[in-house]
Amino acid sequence: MSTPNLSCAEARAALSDRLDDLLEPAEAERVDAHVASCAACGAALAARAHVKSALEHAWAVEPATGDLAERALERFAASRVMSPGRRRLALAASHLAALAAGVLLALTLIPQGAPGAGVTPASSPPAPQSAVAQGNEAEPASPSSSAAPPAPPYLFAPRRIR
Amino acid sequence: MGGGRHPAMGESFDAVYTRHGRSIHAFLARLTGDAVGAEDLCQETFVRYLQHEEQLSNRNGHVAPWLFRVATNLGLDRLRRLKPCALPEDLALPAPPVRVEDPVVGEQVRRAVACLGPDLRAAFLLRAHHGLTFPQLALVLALSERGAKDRYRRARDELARLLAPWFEDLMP
Repeated sequence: MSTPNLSCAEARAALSDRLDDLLEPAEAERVDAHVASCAACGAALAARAHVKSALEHAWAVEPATGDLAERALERFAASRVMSPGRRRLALAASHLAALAAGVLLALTLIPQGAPGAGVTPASSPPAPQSAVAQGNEAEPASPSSSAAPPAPPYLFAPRRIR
Repeated sequence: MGGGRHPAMGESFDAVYTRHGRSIHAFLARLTGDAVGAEDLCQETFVRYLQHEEQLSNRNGHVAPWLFRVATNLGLDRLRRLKPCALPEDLALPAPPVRVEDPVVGEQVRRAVACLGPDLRAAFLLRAHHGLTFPQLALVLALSERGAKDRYRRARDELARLLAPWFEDLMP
């Protein structure tokens, strides 16, 4: 069953909504069908579209005077440096790094053959290769990187003292 | 700071700013009626983007609505601290008919939009001047799509009422 065609008055009342894409698809189709077959309403739609477009483009805004992106980056960087939460976080990270450095230093200074050298300190990171290491207990500790435990996710690269 | 470069997981900050910066600034200038103050709000919008960059970097289609949402909230906060607009008595177009191409029209459109309440003003600008779709408008204004359409329609009708004496083609 086909829906009745719109009258000119009904179509005119819907022109703004049609231009603004506010109509449901079926209603939009009916307006389009009327406008396509009615020269007067077609002209009214074109006139309204012209005014609408002109008004929307009439209000120009000058671009910003400075480099807002650069200033935003600076403000962002400053907020990261200055924020108390960030400062506390950085302080905690530096304490953790110092603690980790101390543990590593202690580990490298203990002679590998000394009694207790095979005992893993409670604070050291878990060593995934422990089973392999236990099988090679008699061998001298090798300074080569292949025998070293995987680098822990510290904030710095630990160095071995030779 | 090296030329504004900021490494990100997805699009660089420079690219995001190049794509959206001018539009966000223009929107804020129109919304608040203050081009200089809009620069400050625009910067703040992009500072907030940087603070959420990781969450947004994988959601390319959501960056523009997200930026407009932040900008809208910042702009409306600014407007709420100002006294209400004294218009529409200030609307003073020349005697009709006025050609829409006349340079004076831009100023009068600005004044007419300034007569709208802040919420209607934001809805109208986002849709008519910045081309947001209604789903995007709904996202920015935290409304349903129907609610976004209703708000835009109210803004448009109010504006048409203000400008109709000069632009009779605006009225149904």
